[in-house]
Amino acid sequence: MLEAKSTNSLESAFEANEKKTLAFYLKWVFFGRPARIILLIIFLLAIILPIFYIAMTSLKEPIEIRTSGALLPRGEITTVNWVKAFANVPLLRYLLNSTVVALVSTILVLIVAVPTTYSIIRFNTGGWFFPAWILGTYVMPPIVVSIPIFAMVKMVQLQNTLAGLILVHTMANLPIAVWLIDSYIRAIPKELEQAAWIDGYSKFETLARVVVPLIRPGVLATGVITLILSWNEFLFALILTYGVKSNTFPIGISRYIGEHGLQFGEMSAAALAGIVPIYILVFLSSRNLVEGLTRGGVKG
Amino acid sequence: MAQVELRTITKKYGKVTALDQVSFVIPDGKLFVLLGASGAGKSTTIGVISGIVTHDSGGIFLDGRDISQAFPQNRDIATAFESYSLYPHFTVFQNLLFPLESPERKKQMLKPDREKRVKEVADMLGLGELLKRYPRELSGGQKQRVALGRTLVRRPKAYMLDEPIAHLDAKLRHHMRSELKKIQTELGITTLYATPDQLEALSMGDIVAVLNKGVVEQIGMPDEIYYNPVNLFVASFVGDPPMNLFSVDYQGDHVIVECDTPYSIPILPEDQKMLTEKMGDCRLKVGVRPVNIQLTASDDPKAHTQGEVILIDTLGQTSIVTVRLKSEEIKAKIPSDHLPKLHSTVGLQFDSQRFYYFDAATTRSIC
Repeated sequence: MLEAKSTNSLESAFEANEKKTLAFYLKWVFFGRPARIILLIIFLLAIILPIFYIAMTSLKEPIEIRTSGALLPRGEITTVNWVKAFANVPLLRYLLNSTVVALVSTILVLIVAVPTTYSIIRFNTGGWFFPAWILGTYVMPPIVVSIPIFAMVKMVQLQNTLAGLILVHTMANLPIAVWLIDSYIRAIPKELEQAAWIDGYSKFETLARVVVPLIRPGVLATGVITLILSWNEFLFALILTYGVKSNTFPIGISRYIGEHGLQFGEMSAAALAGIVPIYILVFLSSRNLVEGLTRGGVKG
Repeated sequence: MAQVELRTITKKYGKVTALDQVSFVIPDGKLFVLLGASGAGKSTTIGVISGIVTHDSGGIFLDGRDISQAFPQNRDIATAFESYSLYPHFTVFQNLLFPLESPERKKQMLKPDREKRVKEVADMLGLGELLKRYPRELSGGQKQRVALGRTLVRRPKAYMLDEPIAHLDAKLRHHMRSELKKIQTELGITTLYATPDQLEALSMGDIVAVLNKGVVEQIGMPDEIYYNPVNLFVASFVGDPPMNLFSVDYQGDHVIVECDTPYSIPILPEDQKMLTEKMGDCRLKVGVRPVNIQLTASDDPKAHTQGEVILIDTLGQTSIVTVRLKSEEIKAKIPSDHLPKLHSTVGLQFDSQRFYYFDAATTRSIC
């Protein structure tokens, strides 16, 4: 905000033919409009290029992929990689598994995270220790707990099932959900909740009828983020699932590493197929996501 | 319908004492006005009774039952907040309906009855046109009426109204004052009404309590508060403009006002008798309400003193005239048709039948 303002005043100063010292030109080059556009282009290229690259790779002949590292296909464009990607590996099944795991674990995360966060903020549940502990589990690298997690899932006989992975993803994404929802709940004036208590509602009813509707954009934004996290999660999916029945998409991608080496073309096609749903989701919810992530406030 | 009683309620916010041993009883069905400036502790009192502010010590009793520990939901007290606290995600209609849709009350009233009640209250408050709007689309005065309406749709044991009409425009406020009093009398629901406006307090209240810095200074009927203020605070707080207060020297049948140009005012024989009996040897202060001062010609022999008119504030039929003696200013409230000229010298005649006497040291009233 502040930067944007200073740039604007810089431009107007430039247009106003202010005394142009060297310092002024330097400032203009580094913070002015050209600099902004160049930065934006670099940033966009960094995001788009890899995706563009795999999209192009998926359209190249396998022989060309092996022999040339060029970005654009030189020979003929082909769909053979796409056909093979779906034919050689049960890609659709992996995508379905991923969808189920991501959706169900996200719903579970939200169901648990909203009341938990509300309780921590409004009623100081768990004192200082509980919130610190929640954040602590998020900071910890997942690999540290991978063996105990595997043992626990096995103990309840959920290894190699979607249910097991759903539970683990729910657990893994809870801290970030609590952390994100925190600010939305804090933004709600306490008086609204007190008014609801006086109007004859219990604490839980107040949460359901006043708090949740008000933080809905935040909850949805949180949901999209945990959905993406679960969709992309690799480590737990790798150690907890070992078959078509329960493998998720990121694990499925590794199936293209066969005995004849890496099937780059097929892998690229599959990867693209896997990121399309999540891109569509983010695109559709982008307005909500931006609103939810930037505006925690409730204007009465 | 219930009697609300506060027993020695104390509430501190850190080092600040918001309520200091506050005790009072609101009799069943009465309108009890809590009168005090902002910061006096009115909202805290209402918060304590509603259950959203936890007090440090003392007890709250509803019909003799201790509700100090009860959750607000279970107290059956309806509160209109000064800050409105409207639900931003509900329309005006939904806001008004919300209290009637609580699990408990849903069982007591059928849906058509609930909606009928909302319509009635909305019409009474002039909200009929606004029912479909959201709170963010309302003006401050409209929001306040919705907040009041959300309280009035209920038939609770008691209403707590925290400056419920403070932000309405003058005409509507005047109308709502009598309307609220009428509703309260008709329903017979015990009501606590907090306001900094003494006119509101004296015109609406069955009982008025004057609150000052968390201390109840006086509880009484509006007449008592106005005519028999127990101390200097109540005397100067109630009455518009405030009472003129003079330090005087008591001389038997008259008092001498101590100022740069001392003057004497004869007092009534019964006051003289009363003062001789009760006052002892304390320093005396005399209070005279602006309405009990008459302006005369400067050479009128009945005038007790004279001064220069420095300000005339006309309020329609009556005017407030500020007269400067040497270093003091005295305010008189007189009919607007006999106004003196600005900067002219006028005589001041005090009506000694309406004198208030106070002990300067303890600030207590002597009578």
